[in-house]
Amino acid sequence: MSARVTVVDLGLGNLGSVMQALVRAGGEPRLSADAVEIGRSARVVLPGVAAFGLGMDRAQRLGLRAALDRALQRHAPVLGICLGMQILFEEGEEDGLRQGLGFLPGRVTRLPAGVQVPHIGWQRLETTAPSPLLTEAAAPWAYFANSYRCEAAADVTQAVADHSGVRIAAVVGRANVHGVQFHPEKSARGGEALLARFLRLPEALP
Amino acid sequence: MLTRRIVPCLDVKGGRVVKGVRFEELRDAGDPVEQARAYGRAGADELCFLDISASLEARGTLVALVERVARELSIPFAVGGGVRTVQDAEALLRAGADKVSLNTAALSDPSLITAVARLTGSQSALVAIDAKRLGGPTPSWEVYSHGGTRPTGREAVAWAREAVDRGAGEILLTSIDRDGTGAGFEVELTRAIASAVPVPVIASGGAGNPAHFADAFAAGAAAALAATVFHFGTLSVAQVKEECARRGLPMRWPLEE
Repeated sequence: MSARVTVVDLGLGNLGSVMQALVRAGGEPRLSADAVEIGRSARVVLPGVAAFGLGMDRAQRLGLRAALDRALQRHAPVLGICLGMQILFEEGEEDGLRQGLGFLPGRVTRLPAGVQVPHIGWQRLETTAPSPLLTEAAAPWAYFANSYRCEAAADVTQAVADHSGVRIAAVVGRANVHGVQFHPEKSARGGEALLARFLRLPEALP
Repeated sequence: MLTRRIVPCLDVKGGRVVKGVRFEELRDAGDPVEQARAYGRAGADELCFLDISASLEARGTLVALVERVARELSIPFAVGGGVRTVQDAEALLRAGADKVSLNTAALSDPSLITAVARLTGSQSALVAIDAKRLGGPTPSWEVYSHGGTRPTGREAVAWAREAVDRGAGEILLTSIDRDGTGAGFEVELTRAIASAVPVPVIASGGAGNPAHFADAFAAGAAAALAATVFHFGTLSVAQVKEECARRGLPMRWPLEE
């Protein structure tokens, strides 16, 4: 049986790749911009590219915080991807200082000068704490494309990527809230395996 | 540490691949989806589709091609060739392209770079620079437009800096002098641009053997693109990656998780 999952449509970026990657990973994705439907989901994926401010504008218009609150009360697993992960944090400095959804402790800041920005390319993750999204064996190869990073609290950081000495939180999570800075939908087999593990997490209560 | 990327480039015309690798197992070597998936399995880190269709009618098929590739491919890909307006770019990004490559249109209206970067972020705005070496004691390069046929009077390093200031997230740098020669990437040009901008530089033009890729990386390229050597089967992605890894460069190789 395929795993039901709701993909939040903020009207930004490329949802098709995420939808198809979820299908390949054994999911039955359904796109939604409806807060009630998102609140009732079995699982939620929050994709997104573009910018923190724009993402938060769309999230507020949709009533996403309350919708995710309802989903989480029913123990629905939630996965934010790239910008979708970033807006799960408390605040971001892209487009001026903006409040985030506040589901995870930490802030989103621009990568410092002196390293290659944007951080684009593949690298192997380094696990720092157990995550239900990662196996205990080798950490996967992951494809990143980001100019900002989450300065995530240590207790929610589960895997990191070193970018010329700058530490980028790559996998974060607390209880049912998960986030990945890279693009699992673009990370070949390792990305697909991560999505498959997310889809195998127990779904929400009815 | 980021690994260095190997980027095969496929020429497409009217929605069909006219220059891609001759993978033996393919039923339809002109099908962009089959080509793309084969490259993905072979270990390519990213793909670049270059639309060489001359007619607008044939270009209309590009968006449909991008949609099909995006559904099936699990590595990133860029699309370029004839992107004139922000609407062209938006249609390709919406269809699932990870990056859109701007060249001639950005030279005639540099504000296009900023407009495209605003759509989904600078990581999706790739500026392609075709450069040709000028004579003289100090090395310098002139930017050409229209598929490398028209000199623009712009100096390549200055144009790369301007493109990045305007929002380009990557530079795809082609040496016109080396393109198609197999004599190696132009290392001096690669170094000049890579040291001038903070964004990744994709070296292009001249790949002939695996060591050439390693040379481009040593000169500061974050990625290296090639079409001919992969198309004619002179080199496989695996051969290139093995040689680069043997020389101590960080590569996504071997692929096993």
